[in-house]
Amino acid sequence: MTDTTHAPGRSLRRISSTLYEIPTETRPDMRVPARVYADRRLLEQISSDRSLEQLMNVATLPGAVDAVYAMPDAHEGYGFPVGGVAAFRTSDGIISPGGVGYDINCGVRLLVSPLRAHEISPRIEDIVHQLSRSIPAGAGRESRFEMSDAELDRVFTEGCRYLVERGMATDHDLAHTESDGCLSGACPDGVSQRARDRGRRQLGTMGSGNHFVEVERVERIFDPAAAEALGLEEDRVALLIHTGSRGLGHQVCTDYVKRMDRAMERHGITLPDRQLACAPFSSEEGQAYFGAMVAAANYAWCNRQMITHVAREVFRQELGSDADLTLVYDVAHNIAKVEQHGGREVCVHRKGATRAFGPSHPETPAAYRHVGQPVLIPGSMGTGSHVLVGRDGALELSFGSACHGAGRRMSRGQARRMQHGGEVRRELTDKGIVVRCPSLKELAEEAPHAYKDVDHVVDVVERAGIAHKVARLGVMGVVKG
Amino acid sequence: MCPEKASTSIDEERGHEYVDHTSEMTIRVRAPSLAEVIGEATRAFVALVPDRSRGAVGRDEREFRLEAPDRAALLADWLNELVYLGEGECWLPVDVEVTTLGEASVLIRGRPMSLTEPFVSVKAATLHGVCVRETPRGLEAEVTLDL
Repeated sequence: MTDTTHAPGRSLRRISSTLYEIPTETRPDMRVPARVYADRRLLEQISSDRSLEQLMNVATLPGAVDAVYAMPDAHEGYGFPVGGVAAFRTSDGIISPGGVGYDINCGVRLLVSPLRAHEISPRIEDIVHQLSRSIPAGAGRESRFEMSDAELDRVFTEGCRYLVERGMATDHDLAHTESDGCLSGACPDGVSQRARDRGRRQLGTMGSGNHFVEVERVERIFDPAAAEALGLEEDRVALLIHTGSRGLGHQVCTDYVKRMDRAMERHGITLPDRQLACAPFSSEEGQAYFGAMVAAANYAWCNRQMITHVAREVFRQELGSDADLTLVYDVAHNIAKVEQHGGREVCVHRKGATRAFGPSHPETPAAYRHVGQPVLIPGSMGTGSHVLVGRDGALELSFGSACHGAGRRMSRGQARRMQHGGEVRRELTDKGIVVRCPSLKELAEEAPHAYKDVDHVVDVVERAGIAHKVARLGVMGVVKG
Repeated sequence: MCPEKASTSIDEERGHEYVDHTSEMTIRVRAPSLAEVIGEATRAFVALVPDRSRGAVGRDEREFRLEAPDRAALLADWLNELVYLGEGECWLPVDVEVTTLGEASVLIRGRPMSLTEPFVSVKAATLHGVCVRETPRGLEAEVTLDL
């Protein structure tokens, strides 16, 4: 084991008002520097837990290129910090299941309706109620769409394309989803029976924790031209969906962390944290994990698409056929993808980080080629969310990656000790926000004070040149997982 | 996510507690032997199941034989078994009888509590900081759960 007792805070060098660096020489096992996008205030919050030490640990992994990055919403995770980005050469670098996380392709999608907030305000209670009845959330609520093994295989390999055939997605949806809602290279055989069993009845479900479906109102436009390209206008009603690959993804990660942990010695890799278990990308274990992770990522896109299908039904039932929800974009924020950066093929791990490609990138969807790929940043419950677009400079700055949310700043236990769930509910209700949550305990754990200030986090991302602010969304109703 | 009831009970020799973590939760366990560490960790895990999901004590006893490269991995493997059983089969043990078969090898018999709904709040037991270490009074173990 490597000595990780070096105090990372003391090694931090200020590069600019939004970038700090821990140099490679800080620890003998670091291969590249560790860089943190933050201003002084956020850096203080990020330094209050073990995020920086975890980021330095990531910098020790074989094949790391340029630098590893923490986004301004970073906080302590397990292995990788949440809000961490790292790229490893596919030729001789690693892939790490812990660097993607258990909720493979956890992500966010934004839909917009033609309706104005005042047109749905009188019905908001009913709409939120129907969404909570129709979209299973929390423990024990299973999907109405149970999948056979053969159907799951099609989900794994075809992603959202399969749902077009099933009448639950449109070509427009595919064109407005990261990677068209389907990564290639899925290996269904690499997904264990246990993973299939956990995921079989969970497509179209939200899960628990910080997952949600929120009815939003476009509160403020920062960039009218970009907003127009994205179909956003002030006061328009929107829907934000945050969930991932559910038990299926969790089990895929568990299976491969265990498999790689057992293979470390054979590959001659030593780690400062066992959860960073990894294997060379090109090895049998590396390729097997990549194939299973792709399958789980495609499952997650289908999950958000099926929730979209149900939400569209609810909007039509409650508000009529004029209330159709159009997909603006869907982004992953827990994923490993093979990309080209600096003329090299690398496997970029984004763990609690959102891809943020600029207008010139070929993978930016055609509809957004002139503005940049939409970057969706949900805030904490009740505080609002942000829509940004990636900038071309992000490729150099962070392998084309931005933050993924506000980022926790205190534990669930601390949050519960600070405020009772009933009080959180009252405060949200006083702001006119309709809330549906399985328990007050979970409401307390997800209270706004448990998170960093999302406006501040997003400002740092913009000032750093990674992404550009387009609009801010205000919350009208929340269905919590 | 913490247990609904204050089930934390630990002293220098025995018991379990939940340690704060920014986004996850660490379980710390103390017990005189590996078998009792497994038993205590099982109680700590099952205490996370909300009251509304708890059913009657059942008869569907099960037996598990686990072997891992070391004791820490064994502990994580067992908790991941519980994650799967709670979510995939609505089965969790109210009590376990653990027989040590080797340095990192155990036989576990569990008497079940039926769950009225799948327990989905824990995604996995991670290997982050997982340990089973000797102390002057026995063993102390830590494992971080992804919530």
